[in-house]
Amino acid sequence: MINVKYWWNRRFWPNRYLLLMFLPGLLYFIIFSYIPMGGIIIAFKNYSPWLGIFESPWVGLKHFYDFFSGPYAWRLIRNTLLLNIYGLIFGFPIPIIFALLLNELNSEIYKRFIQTVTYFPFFLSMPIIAGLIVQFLSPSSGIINIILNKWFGRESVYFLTKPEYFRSIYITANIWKNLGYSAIIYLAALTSIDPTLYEAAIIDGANRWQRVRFITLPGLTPTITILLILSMGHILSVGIDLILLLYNPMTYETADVIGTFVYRRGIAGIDGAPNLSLGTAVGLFQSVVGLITIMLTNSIARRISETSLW
Amino acid sequence: MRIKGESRIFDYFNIFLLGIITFIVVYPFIYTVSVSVSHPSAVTKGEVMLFPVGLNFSAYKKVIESPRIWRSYWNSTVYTSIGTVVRLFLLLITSYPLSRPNFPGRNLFTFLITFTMLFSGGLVPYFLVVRALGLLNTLWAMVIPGALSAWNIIIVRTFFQSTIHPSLIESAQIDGANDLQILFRIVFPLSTPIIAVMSLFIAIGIWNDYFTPLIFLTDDTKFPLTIILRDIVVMAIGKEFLGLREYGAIPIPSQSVQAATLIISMIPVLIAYPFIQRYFIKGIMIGAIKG
Repeated sequence: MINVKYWWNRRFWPNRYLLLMFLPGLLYFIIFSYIPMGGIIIAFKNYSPWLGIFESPWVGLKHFYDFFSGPYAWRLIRNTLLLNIYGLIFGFPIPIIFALLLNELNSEIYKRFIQTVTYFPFFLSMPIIAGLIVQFLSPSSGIINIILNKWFGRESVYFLTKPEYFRSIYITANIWKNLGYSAIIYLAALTSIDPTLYEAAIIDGANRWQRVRFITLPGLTPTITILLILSMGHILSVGIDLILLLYNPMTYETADVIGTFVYRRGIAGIDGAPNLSLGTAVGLFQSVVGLITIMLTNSIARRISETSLW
Repeated sequence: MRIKGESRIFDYFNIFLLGIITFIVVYPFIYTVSVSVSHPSAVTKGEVMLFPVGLNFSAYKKVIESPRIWRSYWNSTVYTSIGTVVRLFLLLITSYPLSRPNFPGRNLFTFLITFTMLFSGGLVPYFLVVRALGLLNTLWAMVIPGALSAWNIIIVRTFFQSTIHPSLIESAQIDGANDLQILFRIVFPLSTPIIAVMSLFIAIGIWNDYFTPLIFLTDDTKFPLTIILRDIVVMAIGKEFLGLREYGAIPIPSQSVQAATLIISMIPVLIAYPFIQRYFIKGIMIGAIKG
């Protein structure tokens, strides 16, 4: 009893306004993050809107079994992983190289001009990006096909209906959109490198490449590590906004990913009535794998380097 | 950094390479502008590659005359302005208590918030919650879900911790100010940089959001610009790649009209861009200071 009284008088009452301020935010996270986490139970039920969450019958792991024994699971996991892996292989080093090149530039004005221009696409919405892509790749009047026709004498290619092109289109568009933004993160990290290190290196006779190799790159390593851990946490989830705009049944073979499947089957019900329980089960699989991968990469990063998220 | 006597070959190569990269980034815009102001027949014949062929503004006239574009423009403006005010206020009042060492339950609450970055219930339960709250097809569907993000809270909290000195708050308390007065009279006026950055983050986020209206709005009169653009993209894919003549009962717009729509929808971002430039880089710097 003494504890309650102490807590009330010393901790709660003097901080009542702070607690009051915090209340709406707390409610927000309870309603939009923690209640949906509780809603995961419908993955183990046959959810019916008429019966409600609690009355719907339990079915155990049926939806997981259906998903993994069905024809789509492997294709979805493969497509998601490949988009992420290719995205990492190509999308991760390019902004770093770009930032290093910018950093070596002597003209401040030219540097700022390039940054201003390359930064812009980051602020455009995905439908605009998709619109630009369609303009570009259109078989009748898109620039890529005009070049193919006129310069190489080739027939027009229907890029957006050919599964073999989808990954390249998706990854190129993302690199194009994010190049300037990612480079700014690295450039910000570069400003924290002590300039006397460069001066000392120059006196010791280090050439340009050696200064990049032994000062600049090590200075970027913590930032690179953090960004890598964060992207590993998303290995089974890929930004679906652009995919939803560009894919169609003809390219599902390479374009359909876990996220788009959950949207299509769980909410939109585009092929068949929406199956909320199946959608929840597949989403849960995705969340759990994401949690495990981020923990694993974080502990690996902590072991091999000094940088980690926590 | 350069020292005398080092080869300049790399410098010239670097200037050239960065020039090419910049051109690749700008080219889609130049091309789209050129398509939108070229003569439509020149576009279909494939004559437009870099500069406009035969100046013609009929595509813009068509877009400007479309009531659907204007209504969605208006909707986007309403969602963005109301959403930014609500979300910003919520962000500030949630982050501030977490920055105060004496706030009871601070560690627990910080954990509850950061945990949402690592794990979520997934799209379907989230959708069911929003539907159960009766938010579907209302303005609030664009404002309330997604209003707070753990990431932004951490950034703002770190900003408060590092810029507002505890002695300032203590002296205000001695003068008899309560926490609400401290927040509004002392903390907010000292936080204008982060407030500017965050409003821009939030406003751009809502203006560009296309997934939220896709799942939460079904009424044509409530659609924001992103959904109208999506329709145009989907129609263009249908026409150009799948050989459809019309979409529903609507004839599919020509490539010039598509291009003009894209350009018109980019204008607000282009106008805001100088501000964004100025504050965003600051914002990334603040975010880079590890919390």
